[in-house]
Amino acid sequence: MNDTKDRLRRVLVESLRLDLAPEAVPDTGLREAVGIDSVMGLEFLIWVENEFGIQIQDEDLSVELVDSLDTLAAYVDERAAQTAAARD
Amino acid sequence: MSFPVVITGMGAVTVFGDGCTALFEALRKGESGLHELRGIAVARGKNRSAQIEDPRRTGPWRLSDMAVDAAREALAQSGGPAPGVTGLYVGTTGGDNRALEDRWEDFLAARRALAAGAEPQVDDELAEAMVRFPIGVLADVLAHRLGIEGPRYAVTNACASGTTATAMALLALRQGTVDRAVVVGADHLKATSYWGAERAGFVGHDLRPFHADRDGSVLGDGAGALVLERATDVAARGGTPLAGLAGWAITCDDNPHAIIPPEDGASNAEAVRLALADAGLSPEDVDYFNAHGTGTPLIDRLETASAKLVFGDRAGQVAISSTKSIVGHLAAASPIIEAIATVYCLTEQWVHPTAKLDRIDPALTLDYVPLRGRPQRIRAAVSNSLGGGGTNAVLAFRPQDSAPAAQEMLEPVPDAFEPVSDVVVTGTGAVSRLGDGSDALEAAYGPNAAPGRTRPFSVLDHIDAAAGYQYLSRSAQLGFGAAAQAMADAGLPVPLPAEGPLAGRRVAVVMGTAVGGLSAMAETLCPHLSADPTRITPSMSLDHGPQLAATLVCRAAGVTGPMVTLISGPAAGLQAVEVGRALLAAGACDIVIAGGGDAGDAPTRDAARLLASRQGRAGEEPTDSAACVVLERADGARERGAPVRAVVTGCASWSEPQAPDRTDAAAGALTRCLTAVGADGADRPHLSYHVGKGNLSDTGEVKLLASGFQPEALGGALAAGPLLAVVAAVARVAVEPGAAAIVSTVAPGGSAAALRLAGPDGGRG
Repeated sequence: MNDTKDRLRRVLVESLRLDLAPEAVPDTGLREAVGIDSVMGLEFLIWVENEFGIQIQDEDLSVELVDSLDTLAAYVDERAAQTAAARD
Repeated sequence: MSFPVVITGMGAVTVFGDGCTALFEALRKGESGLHELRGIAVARGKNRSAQIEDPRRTGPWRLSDMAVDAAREALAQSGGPAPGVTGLYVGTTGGDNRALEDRWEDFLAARRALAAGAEPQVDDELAEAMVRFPIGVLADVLAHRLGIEGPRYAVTNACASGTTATAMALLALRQGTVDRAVVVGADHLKATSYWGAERAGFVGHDLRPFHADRDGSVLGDGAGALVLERATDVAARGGTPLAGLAGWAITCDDNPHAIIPPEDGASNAEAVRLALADAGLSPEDVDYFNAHGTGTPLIDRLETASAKLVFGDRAGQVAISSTKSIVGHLAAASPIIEAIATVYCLTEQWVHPTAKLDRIDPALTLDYVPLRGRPQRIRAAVSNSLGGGGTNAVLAFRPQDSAPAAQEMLEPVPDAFEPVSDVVVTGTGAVSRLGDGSDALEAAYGPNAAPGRTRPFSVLDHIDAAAGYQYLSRSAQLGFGAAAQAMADAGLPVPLPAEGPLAGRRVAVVMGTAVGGLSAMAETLCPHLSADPTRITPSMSLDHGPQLAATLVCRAAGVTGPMVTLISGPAAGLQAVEVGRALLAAGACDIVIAGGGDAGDAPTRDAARLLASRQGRAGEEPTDSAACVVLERADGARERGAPVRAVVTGCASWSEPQAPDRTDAAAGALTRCLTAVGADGADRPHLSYHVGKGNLSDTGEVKLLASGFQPEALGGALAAGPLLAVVAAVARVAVEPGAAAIVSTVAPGGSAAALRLAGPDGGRG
């Protein structure tokens, strides 16, 4: 879980070209803290898909999903487990 | 004084088939023409399209075929031949560049062979695909196939391109630059545009504008054409006007985001107001609002907010409908198709419906004419367009047969076009392989000028890293860099104030480019398309639009006036000055930032090398280049105490109908341009700055002297080349009393352009 959050922090900084150390990304209130608009949200989530080899469901693909690292990390872990299970 | 302009011909190729009649039947039925997407990998279940599936419309050049057919239909209806000068105005976002994108792997293989010193495999079709990759070549192809000689412009402002092209044509007719205008908008669906738009959240599962469940737009194929003429000329030749094209306006969003438009609709509303004012209409006269109507949640809210701002308490009484709900989103073709739909509604005094609108979004409270069209008195109508990168472009229409309007139409429109004082250059900027700034161009006078740069151009020399410009397309960075220099040189504050004599809304940005960021976009997207398109992210396409140089200038400088991007090949930089002068003459702005730039990126360089080696000639190496001039009316410049560096006494472009791969100079076009701009100084010699092929000895009355300027020193500067020569010539005439200069160029496809400069004293010495 923490590993997922660290990876998400790194991907967030890289995908949104933030002038920010990954450790400085807060756990919650990301949209407000980083100023994530809808296109930035999509950019980040597609990077997340590529990073974790998952597909985020259409209905989940919105800027709401990126507001909390805990929520997003839980979602990513769940999707990754499903993807792995589907491969077995 | 200005003359009313009317539409005399229309042509359309859409999913409903060839011809306006098929389109009108579909509007009457109010049924969407969408069907299953074919030939492109589907993203997230978004499998609808408005592709044209006519078996005759296949092959790599299907888009130019469609555009030619639409233009032929419009010309046939207009009943020409019209006397005088015919101008061609083409709006497109992709032109014929899908042909090379579809063969990107073959292109990459040829480039690898070239790099390895092996024999590259370039067949005829691949070679032609490289020639036609710069999207403005579509205009050359159209002119060649239709036999149109005269001023020729390719315009690209994303999905507003067709409206921008129409607005430029309207301006040229009013000002007498042309006597008849053929306006064409054309685009077809490509894997790059579908995936680029889908990733950015623009594509939906269905296209249902204003619907509670709308989730995006659906793209398709199409071409539309209009023929425009002055009402007086049409009356004189006994022609039949279809409707009056009464007004235009273009504004740039007042917005920090490069691409996403602001939801408050204020910048869009300003464009609608200005178009109505330009038409001599008031918001109370408007009964029909043909929306951009993309079906994306944000744009539908934006247009609703815009309509409320413009029409106030009457907003609920103005019928609004989305033509895209029926024909799909056709990028640059849509504005022309929507203009045609608007003219049809005006003629029929009937409003076409918004298809599929069985449940209106409760947050949207206006009259969207759901499902069924209805008879409606329409005294005037507007058609609204938005283009990614900040463009709001609006056209105002009047019916042809309303008696009072028809009477007024024969009267000159007041205040639309004031005779202009001299246009002066108050600032210049340059980026070339000789270095940054006008001074670096001095090296181009030497016999053996060598590249003078010690390090590559960096946009961070001109703007803080926090702005993020370093991530955007190189050509946009270059254009911005030259503009930033020119604005500083002209003593303009950045950002410009919101009010007062230097207000950002009274400034226009006109940029020219040959390739723009489209080479970088294809280089980024095409490998993913063949490997795994789901790895494409929004920025891969959004960062590379060819209109972004203008966007970056507007964003950084707080410009909210007209923005236009010309993509008419190497002449586009000079045409930016030509269009800038027209905007000043029309009173559409007080200051113009007119620039041009192209990147010497890998695909552009390799394509040039491959084509040159195939033709057994040495090619110029495309190299990072940009140039910019700040233009103002002489009285305005003097009033604000600006440094007047030169007077632009004339600027003209002209094109012969030649095949786009013909690189021999268009001698007739060049002579015509030189004669046009040289008329002011026929009795005196001019320093000559000529870029490209062409024999300057045959120039009739115009006397030319060698300036010593060697354009070869610039390398392959594409659209920036002639404008870099302008910057060099401005520096020369600014210091030599009585000096005058003529900058000229010729370009493949039969194009030529020329500009005449006199010193700050007007060249009177």
